[in-house]
Amino acid sequence: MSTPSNSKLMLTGAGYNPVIGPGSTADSTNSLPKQTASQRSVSQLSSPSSLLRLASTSSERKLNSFGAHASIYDRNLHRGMHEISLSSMSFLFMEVIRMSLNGSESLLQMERKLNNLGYRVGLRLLELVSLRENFNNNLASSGKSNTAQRHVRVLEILQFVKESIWPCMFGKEADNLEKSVQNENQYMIIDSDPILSRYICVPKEYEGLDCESFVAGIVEGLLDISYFRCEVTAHSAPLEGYPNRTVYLVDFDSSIISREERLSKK
Amino acid sequence: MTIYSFWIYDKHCNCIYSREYTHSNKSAHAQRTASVLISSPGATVTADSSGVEMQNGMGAPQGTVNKRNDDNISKLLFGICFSLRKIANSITKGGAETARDGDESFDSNIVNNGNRVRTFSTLNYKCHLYETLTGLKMIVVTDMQCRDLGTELANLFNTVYVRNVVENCACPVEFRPGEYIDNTIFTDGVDSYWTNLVEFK
Amino acid sequence: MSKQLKQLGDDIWKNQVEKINSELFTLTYGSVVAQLCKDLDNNYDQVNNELYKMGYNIGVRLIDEFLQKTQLSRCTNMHETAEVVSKIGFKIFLNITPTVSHWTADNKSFGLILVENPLADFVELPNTEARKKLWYSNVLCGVLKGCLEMVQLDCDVSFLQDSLKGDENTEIRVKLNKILKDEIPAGEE
Repeated sequence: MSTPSNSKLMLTGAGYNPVIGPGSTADSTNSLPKQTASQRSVSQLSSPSSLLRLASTSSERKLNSFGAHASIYDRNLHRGMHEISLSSMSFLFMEVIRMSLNGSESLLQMERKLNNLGYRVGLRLLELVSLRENFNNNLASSGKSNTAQRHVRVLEILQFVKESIWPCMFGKEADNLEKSVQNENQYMIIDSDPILSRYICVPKEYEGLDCESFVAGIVEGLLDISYFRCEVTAHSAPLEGYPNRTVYLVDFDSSIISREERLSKK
Repeated sequence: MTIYSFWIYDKHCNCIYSREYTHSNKSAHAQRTASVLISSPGATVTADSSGVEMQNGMGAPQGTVNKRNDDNISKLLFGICFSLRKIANSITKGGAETARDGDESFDSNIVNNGNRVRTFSTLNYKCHLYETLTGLKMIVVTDMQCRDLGTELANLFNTVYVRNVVENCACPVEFRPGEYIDNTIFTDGVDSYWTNLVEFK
Repeated sequence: MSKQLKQLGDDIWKNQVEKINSELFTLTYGSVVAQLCKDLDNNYDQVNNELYKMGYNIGVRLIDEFLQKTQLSRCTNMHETAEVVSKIGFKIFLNITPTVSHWTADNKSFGLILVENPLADFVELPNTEARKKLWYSNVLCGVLKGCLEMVQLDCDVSFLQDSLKGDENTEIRVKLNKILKDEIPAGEE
């Protein structure tokens, strides 16, 4: 409305904008491959400069380099953390639970639904967090090692979940990581005070329902997409003083374990 | 000093929580006083065998929970408070509801903040009222000598109610007739809140 | 007045609110919207409705926490309400402060312009029907509706434009219909 030139520019399509130049892309040049990877679903976007342009000032923010309105591609993924109130998240999670409860015939089905919702979050979270890690690595080693690290060992990826994914989601690391004694393909991630369950009190008729299935779904999603086929389930395991303590049981596919053995021999 | 009973009404005027406290070690006089308000004539205060009398065990005070929500006492109590508030509002504003459509400012006669009844007392007991902007009304009945418990009611709302009802997704916040707050965390929270006051016994 | 409210909102945000990274929230909401689109066969009108209902359910609870945190008394007019919604409500729950604008002449309807929207942080709508019909952040309207109704303000709340759809701004309109009266117990005249 106040920018009459928009529609015309939109029609001419995306491209390098000589008016703005490459300057604003400077600080994130070496992250190009990863950034595109994280957004590969929209690979048609033509120019890398449009992908990386950093909307630094508010006046610039409105219009991106090719005149269209600012979209997510104009925002740097490596930005300061935006915090919101935990209650907002809890309120949303309540509705997520209610939504899964609707039309579910059994608790199992409902946990399945929660798990699925989480799964999709996991897929995206992995991209986001590993991208951030790289940014930070780059900063730390002044740009020398700009390769993304890919975790191939079971312990590595679980450590990554515990030490990187958890802080991104909940602002703290998971409390513990354990290997099952009975089953060599089972590992446990333990959280003594899961944040999402803090405000949840499961009604009597749904006893045994574990809302943390959602988080289990997140973990499953991100492990799956990193080629660690597994199933993750949440189990409530209260301890004195930690009534909500939850164990996320990671059950790796046997192929993962044999791969792990192969890798150990090298 | 004694706390006799505690009531919560939602904005649809339904009693969604009622709690009576039976003080078995009280003097006969107090017992009688209590029964005037709390029990319908003839019934004894010490809960009848069919009621959900609280366990005599340690901690939990005796009395009934959600047993009287729809009986006459509950309705009368609400009626008194409702009418008092209406009267209080109309005497400050000098006239009943005068809000016209198209008024830019909110008329405080409709919205209930104009004049607030905090407590009222009779020869036998004292009622303390607290109402939130969302129309939730909390009433606690005590003996006549009790100080004003308005801030305590507000506190109870801010801590026990918000924490255990509002933030508890397993508990509804809109109640259909016949539905009460029946989750135990809330019930226990209310009990421990009142019993920890010096006024309780 | 406006300055005081801003100060109050900032203070509450700083001192009374437990905070969490918004990204889990953003992604969770995204997952919910995607699931709804799937469940409802991409009938976006229904998805909008469902999101609105979810928001309403949240709103009727959220208002109590809002009142507890702010200890505010009742607003005296719609202008005050608008300021409170933007400078305190949005601030303490989403840590953003939408701009209040576009008042109508009768002072009953205003717009909230969201420069930032944590719900839509990583979102790009596919260039299909979704882009035309889906109000991605419709849950916000439901929340506002629920909150305002609980304090006896019967309002219509809806999106007017959304930058996700290529609009210039993201704007929510709030329009006051009437002030609800106290309910009267059954049997009273």
